[in-house]
Amino acid sequence: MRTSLFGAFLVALTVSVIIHAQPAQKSAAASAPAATADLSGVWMPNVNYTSYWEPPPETEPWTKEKIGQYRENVPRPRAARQATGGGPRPAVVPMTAWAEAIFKYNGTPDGADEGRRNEVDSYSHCSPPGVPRNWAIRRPYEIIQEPHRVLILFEGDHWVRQIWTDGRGHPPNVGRTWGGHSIGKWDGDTLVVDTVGFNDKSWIDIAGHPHSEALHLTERLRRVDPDHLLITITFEDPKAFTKPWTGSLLAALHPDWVIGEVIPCEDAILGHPIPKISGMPIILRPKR
Amino acid sequence: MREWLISSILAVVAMLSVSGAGIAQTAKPSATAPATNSTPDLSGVWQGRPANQWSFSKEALPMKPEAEDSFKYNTVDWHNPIGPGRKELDPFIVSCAPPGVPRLWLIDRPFEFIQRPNRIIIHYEADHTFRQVWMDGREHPEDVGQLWLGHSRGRWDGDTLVIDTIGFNGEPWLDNSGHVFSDAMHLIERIRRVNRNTLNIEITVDDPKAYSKTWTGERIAVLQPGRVIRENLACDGVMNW
Amino acid sequence: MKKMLLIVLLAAAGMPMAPSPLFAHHNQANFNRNVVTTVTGTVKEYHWMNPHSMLILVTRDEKGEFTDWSIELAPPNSLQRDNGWSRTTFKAGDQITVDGNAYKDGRKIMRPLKFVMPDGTEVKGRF
Repeated sequence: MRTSLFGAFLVALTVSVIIHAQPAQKSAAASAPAATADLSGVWMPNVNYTSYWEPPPETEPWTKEKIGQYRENVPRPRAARQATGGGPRPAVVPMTAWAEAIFKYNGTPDGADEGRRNEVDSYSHCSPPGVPRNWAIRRPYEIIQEPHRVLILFEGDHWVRQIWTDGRGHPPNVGRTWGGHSIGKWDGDTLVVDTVGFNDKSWIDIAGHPHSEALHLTERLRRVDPDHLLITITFEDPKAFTKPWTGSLLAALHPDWVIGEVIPCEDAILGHPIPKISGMPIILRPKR
Repeated sequence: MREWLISSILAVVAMLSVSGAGIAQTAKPSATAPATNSTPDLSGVWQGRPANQWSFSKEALPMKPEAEDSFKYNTVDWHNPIGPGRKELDPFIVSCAPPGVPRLWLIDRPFEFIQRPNRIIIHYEADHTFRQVWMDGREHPEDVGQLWLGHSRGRWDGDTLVIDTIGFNGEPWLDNSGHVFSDAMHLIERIRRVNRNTLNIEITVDDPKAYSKTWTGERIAVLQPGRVIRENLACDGVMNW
Repeated sequence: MKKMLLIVLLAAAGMPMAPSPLFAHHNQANFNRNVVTTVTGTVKEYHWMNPHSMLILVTRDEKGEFTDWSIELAPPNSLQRDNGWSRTTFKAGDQITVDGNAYKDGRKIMRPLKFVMPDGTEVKGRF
């Protein structure tokens, strides 16, 4: 008697639970691991990074002097490697033959440090800088931490990155976009971001290193002191790089700033008469 | 005895169902931050309906002569105040110009309200645009400038979000029909969640250079549960290689 | 890769390419960093816009001929944050002097290093 009543109760309970089962996404959001660090705020590199720094040894402390060196200088990969003996060094990019050919093509004939040939840089033609290049441009970006996601508002090209921290994986149909699909995990003081699903239209840096659709990025963000964010990026792309490699950059906190409006190519959109360079034609608004 | 058993089971199921339904209704699709119990909750992803609404108002707008000239030039049939604009003249299509405010409400792409402690961020999928509506009482800056999206401050009026925006450059079209506006526009948007799935967006245009009097228009948006804002570029495929 | 080659060939053949904005984030290596050029003149135009703000100066060369110099500036938000400048910092008719790095190929375009402003004050900064 008691057994069958108890059994009936279990059945009723099970039925009720099944009826009211939440979709997976809702329960993931409700149980998203809490952030273990606060990276929120408006950040900006002090320089326009040409490429990335070789990450310093993890055990080396971030003194004010070291922060200054990484913050105020520009890694110039096309120039001869900087002398050893301390100080930041440009990361060497281990390119495949495919990538080397494109990198050479993307550079200016005189091999100047910035090395970037406008005609083939899609960013010069109003395309997004892409990921991770938009960390390296001297425009502010704001990190906003929500329970289920980290939002990053980039002032340059008004770009929004959504880093899902609610435990979801990459979708099977991840697509091919400028920004890819990003998922993140908190690991002590670090946000670890995993991104796939890129198109091959962007450069990874101003210097003109290319990547393919196979690019898989792991970005690690952490504060090395209250006012500085270290962004360490591991690049994996078997078509472009012979092995995974890591580059880093430093951004500084600007507590009083807000992200403003930037429309990248408004000079062309507005059709203002500005002097010609490089023989490129001007877009004018349709005239009445 | 059996009847007692059956009625007990039914009672338990009924009890659990009622409590289960309660939980289901109050669980939010996205655990976004701080809409407190006292502030209305607009958070989530929405999309305007109908998909092809050309203008905000069904009536002819009170245009001043110059604005009317522009409208007649921009639109396919100027006798129709709510018809399509000419694609070959649409700066959004031809020049990859930002759709701007308030036209972003009429583009057939979803948008998300993200409520933060001092502002509401509106993230429009169209042209990967975001607006920041400052809710902390700050004034418009003195030199507000000439912006594509203007500078927005907002406040709650009961259950309605009231957004006050100035500082426009007057460059985009006002809507999909080819109506225009000037850099003098002062735009008020009143946004209210009329029920769980529906947003009512009422716009009031006060633009003494383009319109002879203030006028209002409307847009409805429908909640898109489980949807996320995806990457979208205004000119992907045209300017991009 | 094929697309890039095609565009290069078209350009070489003098055929019009897809229209492109011209000051959009172009290569700073075009400016000669080793030489400082000084120009003094009258502001003709001042464009406060992205990606580069712009001053057009009317100057007089050694022969006394009028010529336009284009002073390429940072984007508006950078000018505002780094120097406190605004869309009204310059107006047509202002007399200024600019020290900067000019284009390597001789074109009258420069990136400024220092300004003497309309009120006579000297300003160094990030422009």
